[in-house]
Amino acid sequence: MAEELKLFRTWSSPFALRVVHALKIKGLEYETIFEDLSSKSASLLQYNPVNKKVPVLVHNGKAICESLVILEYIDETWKQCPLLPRDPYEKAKARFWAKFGDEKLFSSIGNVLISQGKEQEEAIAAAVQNLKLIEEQLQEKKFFGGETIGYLDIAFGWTANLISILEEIMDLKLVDEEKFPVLSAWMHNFSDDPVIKQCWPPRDKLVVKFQAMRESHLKTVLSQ
Amino acid sequence: MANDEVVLLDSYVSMFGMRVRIALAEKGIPFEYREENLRNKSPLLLEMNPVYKKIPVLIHNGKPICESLIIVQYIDVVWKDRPLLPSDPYQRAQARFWADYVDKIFFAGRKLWTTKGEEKESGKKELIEYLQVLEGELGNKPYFGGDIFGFVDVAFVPYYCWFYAYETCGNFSIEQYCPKLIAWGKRCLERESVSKSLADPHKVYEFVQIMKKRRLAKQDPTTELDHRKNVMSDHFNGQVCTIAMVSF
Repeated sequence: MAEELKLFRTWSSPFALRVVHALKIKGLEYETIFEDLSSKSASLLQYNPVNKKVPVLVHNGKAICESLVILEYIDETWKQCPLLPRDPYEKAKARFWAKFGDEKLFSSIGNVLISQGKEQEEAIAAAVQNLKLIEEQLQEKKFFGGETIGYLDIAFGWTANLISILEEIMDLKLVDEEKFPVLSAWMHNFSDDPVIKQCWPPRDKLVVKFQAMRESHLKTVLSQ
Repeated sequence: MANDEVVLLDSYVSMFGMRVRIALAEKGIPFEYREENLRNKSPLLLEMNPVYKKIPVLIHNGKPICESLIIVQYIDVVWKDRPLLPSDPYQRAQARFWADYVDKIFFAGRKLWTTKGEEKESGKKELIEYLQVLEGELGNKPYFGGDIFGFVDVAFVPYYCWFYAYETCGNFSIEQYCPKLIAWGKRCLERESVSKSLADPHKVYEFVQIMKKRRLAKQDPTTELDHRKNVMSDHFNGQVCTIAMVSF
């Protein structure tokens, strides 16, 4: 049966990038539709009327929304290169940490970007604490998935790319190789994986984007 | 499964805890229920959920599983009788999407008793909007799962016993906006797993009143709402959203 796969994404969304990673690891062909979030397409609004967000995966005309839900859908539909652990307890742990990544880690890293001075120091302390928890999950493994990239690696993938960009913009170090030896090694292994490497958005564009985000937010805070 | 040790760390009024109670009851799994005092958390809770220190926590043969929807999915896979999630991947994805959506109600509903004036009114408006979207999704089906009481029903029905508290605090009637949801809630309550797992709505309202008084009396750290504007997420998803970290 000819499969029709379409992915609605933006060039920079780390959530959409998760879906790209999963599709590439599974060796799936798909069409990309880049969205401009300031002017969402009629198709996007039709496929995701509830949240109106990217990413959306459309498989043979049926839409699946929310990146972590999409990852599970991909894993359940195409059985090659399994992403989630088979053991129910390990699966529950992977889901727990992916949720932690989205609910706590993502916002704590974001808070470092949008703050300065004492507030930033506190934000950094919180982010470092969360990063330590993530590192503990790696133990001595090469990837969260073990020997190969899995669901949790993909869920955390944004850290391997965005954290170093934020460090560059703000001239500070969040993931120090000495303080985070295991996490640093994972970031290198993940980033340099041949499948993952080809998917990263252009770094210079990301630097400009986040620099602008930081400046605009600090300006807003100052004017309040 | 013989010789299974199943313990649930929970709190009577928690809609998240109720999800797990319902799932265990649907599957006929015997378990030990332990009521946690959230102002004086047990060493076991702190050991089993060191990251969030929240209930519910399911402890299965000594191993903890946290986060209510993750627990329900775990239960569904380990005890295969009476499946809660559909077997088709697309249907499963829809169920997961809607179960996640349901929790928007928590944050909106909370504003009805933690805020006042304009903020409270906007919370009420949001709550009604989310409920109307859910009513639209239910449509004319007996359950969100179709003919079968399923994962989304388990995720959402605990909120039904919170409706009285929302309505009383917000001075409105949910039935006026979402009659199908009320009919669905009553239908679900006919199931023993639901009727014995849901809290008494009046006890929920009493709890809300106590929380309200505490907030007024002093800053209670266990109920502090910590709003974090997730700037990065807003930007990528093109939507204004606030990530609220709540210690329940």
